[in-house]
Amino acid sequence: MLAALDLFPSQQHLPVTHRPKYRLWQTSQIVPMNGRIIFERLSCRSPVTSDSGIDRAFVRINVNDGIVAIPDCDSGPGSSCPLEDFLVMVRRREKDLVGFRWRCGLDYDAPQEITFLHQT
Amino acid sequence: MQSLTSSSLESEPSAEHDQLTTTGPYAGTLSAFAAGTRLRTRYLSLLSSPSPAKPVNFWASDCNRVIETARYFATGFFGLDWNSSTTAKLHVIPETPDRGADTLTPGDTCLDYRNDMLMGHGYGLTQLTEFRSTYLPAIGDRFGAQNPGIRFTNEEIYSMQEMCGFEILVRGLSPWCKVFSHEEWLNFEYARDVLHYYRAGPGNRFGPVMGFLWLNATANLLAQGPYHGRLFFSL
Repeated sequence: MLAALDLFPSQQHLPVTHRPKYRLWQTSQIVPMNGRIIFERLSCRSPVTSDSGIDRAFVRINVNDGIVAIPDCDSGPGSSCPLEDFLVMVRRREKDLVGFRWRCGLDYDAPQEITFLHQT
Repeated sequence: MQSLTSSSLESEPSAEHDQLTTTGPYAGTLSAFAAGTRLRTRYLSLLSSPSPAKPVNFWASDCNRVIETARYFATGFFGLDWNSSTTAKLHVIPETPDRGADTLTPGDTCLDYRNDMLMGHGYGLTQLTEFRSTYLPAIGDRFGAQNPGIRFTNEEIYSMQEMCGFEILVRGLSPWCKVFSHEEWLNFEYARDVLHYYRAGPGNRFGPVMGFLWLNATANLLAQGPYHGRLFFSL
């Protein structure tokens, strides 16, 4: 999922010839035991702008009790990402990542998406 | 090497393989319950529901240690009566191939990922093996000098480093941690980064494709807004 969102991007793939001095991809930070990733939907009222008084929605990601700004989408309160921008970003990624069935060599009639995540 | 003889792990260790750890300060059971409690503290306001109360759905992959983690987490988040008809409902999501994309563990259902020995799941181990051969032989030399007549393989030495971490999870400490230098630990840490980066992370061509399933579903939920549900736990 982190790779799909590209939350911890790297200029080049991790080398296997040596240990680099700096890297964002550190599993001890990102996916330790008891690790968790939380997407928060925030609703914030614009303070003093032309659309004062309107609630706007933002998305914020908490990785193991630390807020991680989404690269290229952190203009909201507390480095959050405006919801509409987040959705555009996901739709853009979809172009490259859609098509689980054919990419995985499954039959044409295999289930193609998650259907169970709902409260209603 | 003397510390080896005084180790006292489970009497039947094979029964505990791949299961939630239950002992020590870092026990999985304790961590899951603590996480539930901490998140309850943070998100209590999201729990108040209209009447009649509808149970909050949450999901766990069909794997014993995951289901147990979910139950400990739920106890911390919802309370001891989490399984009552009005509090919460745990849905176990199968991992069998027939699920296709409709699962929390596409690593099990993406057939090409499983079968592609070169660039699929196995790519992580391939890359790991390559990197660790850059730092393990020197450790082997050191052990050989200290223990003449014994030559440990890269795999054996790597396993010793793993023991430090895994033993801490069961006992709270491990004598293996003192066997290696700080620099050797930094290399081990990076080795694990390489393994996961190329096994299912950005370095594997299937990684983002598999991860997109849950990301897409979550984005849709965020777009729908709180009237369609305020809490969604996937374990």
